[in-house]
Amino acid sequence: MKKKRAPRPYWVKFLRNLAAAFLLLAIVWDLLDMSLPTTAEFRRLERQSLAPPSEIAAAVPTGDPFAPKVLIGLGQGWAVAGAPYPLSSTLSDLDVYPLSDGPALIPLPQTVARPDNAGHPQFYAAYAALCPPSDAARAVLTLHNEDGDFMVEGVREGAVFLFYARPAPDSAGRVSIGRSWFQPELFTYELAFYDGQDNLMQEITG
Amino acid sequence: MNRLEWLDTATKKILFRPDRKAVRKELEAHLEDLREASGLDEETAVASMGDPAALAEELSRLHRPWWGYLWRASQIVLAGTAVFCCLLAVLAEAVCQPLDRLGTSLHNYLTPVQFTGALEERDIPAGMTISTGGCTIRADRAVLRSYEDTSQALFVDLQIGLSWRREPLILQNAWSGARTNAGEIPRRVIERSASWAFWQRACLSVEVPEDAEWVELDFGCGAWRRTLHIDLTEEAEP
Amino acid sequence: MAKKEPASVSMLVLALLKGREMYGYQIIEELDKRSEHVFQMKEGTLYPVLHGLEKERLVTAREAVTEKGRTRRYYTITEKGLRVLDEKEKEWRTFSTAVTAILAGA
Repeated sequence: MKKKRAPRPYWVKFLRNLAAAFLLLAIVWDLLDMSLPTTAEFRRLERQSLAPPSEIAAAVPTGDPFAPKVLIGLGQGWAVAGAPYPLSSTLSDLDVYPLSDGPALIPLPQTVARPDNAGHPQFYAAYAALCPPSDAARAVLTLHNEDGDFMVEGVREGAVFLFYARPAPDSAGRVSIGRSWFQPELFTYELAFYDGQDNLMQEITG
Repeated sequence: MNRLEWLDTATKKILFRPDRKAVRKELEAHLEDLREASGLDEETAVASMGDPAALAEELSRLHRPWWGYLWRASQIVLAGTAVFCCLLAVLAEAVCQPLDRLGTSLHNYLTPVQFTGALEERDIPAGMTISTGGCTIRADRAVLRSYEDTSQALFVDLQIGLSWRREPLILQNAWSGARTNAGEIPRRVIERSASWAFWQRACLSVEVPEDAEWVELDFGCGAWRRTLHIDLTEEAEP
Repeated sequence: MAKKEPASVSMLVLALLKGREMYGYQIIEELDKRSEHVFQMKEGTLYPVLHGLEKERLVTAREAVTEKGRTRRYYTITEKGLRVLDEKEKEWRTFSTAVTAILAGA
């Protein structure tokens, strides 16, 4: 007489299936080096750069659905600016900047988007002024790079000032933001802070 | 009432189909046993089995469909996950990174870099390990190479043990500084970096001035900053 | 079988299964035989009880195919079932002793 074992009860099979599905996801996840959402990917980039977890000072939307935010982190004596790419970690980007006392300017590693008057997103190169003087009400950045000189008013975002700048469109109306906008060796600047009465408080150059 | 009608009535209140079929099969077998043993015809045998409607009530109370439905749902989830993972694998292959990364990265990891063009080479005993951010960085060996234009460069082979997360270091960021007794070294070159499983190998090179007695390499920043010290004046054991 | 005392029905079924594993029709036959036709259980009573016992893990069931190709569901008592049977037996003996005592008169 051929015998069949007692079948497993449904709840066992249910849990088993869920566990198998979870395991499958985890394996494929690891195999493809998939990363978790933006902040987790940012933390991972920090770890890979041997930078202790910093305090996230600002998150700037980029307008890129695959790399939705640029995160700026502040640590004791250093700052990080990262553009995490949650779907593919090889495309993620993080820069570490050592900081000395006083304010500093860092470029953000990716273009960011801001809506114009009509609501269409326009792309800019972005910069962040870190550790501004505590009573600073205004910050003005003057940028010099291969495309010319640009003066930008800072937008306060929490503890930092953000600056959005871009070259003028060419004859066809296109805007191309080259490397000299992102690499500190390729541009120079003056950064001025003003208090509430518009008095100059501090100016740094780089 | 014939056999099939009776069976259908008796089981129709069991909502989950596999359960309903199983109970039906059991009752059918019972009916057959009854007919065989008693020799009655189908109608009489069925009648002697009792009221199917009442039985249906009792059975439906016992064979609730919820766990069955949950199991079905979990089967769909599992099937969906399998399909999703296949799609992901295909997509990732096409868009982001090749799946045979595992094989090639092992090959990269094991293949050493060849350096040529040096006038003179001197082995420097390094043998120092630092530990930071969950990783251990060990300087295996260092080679000082002198060139025709009287410049010299120190090549340091690093063996990096990664943390349990298996996240290879981004050396552009992790290697944060270099200096000799003569001052900071501005030019730093990462000759190669390859990782596999829990290990990463890297070869870093710095240009050192002639009078350099030692080289220090900084890794990490803030609380994770550590320094590797390499003494250039020591002679390697032959 | 009195539907008012399903507890005793399950006790009898468990007692039958204590000896060996049986399938549905066999249980009814065995009950009929051993009680000398006093207990002639109906299918409408047996299967709810059997499936109920299976749900409470007092019995387990498995399928087997006979030489004739018929599939039968064999029920076996479990450890828990044996324990419950013991308890029910004790209850029954207490009950029946009490009843006997009363009927024996003052």
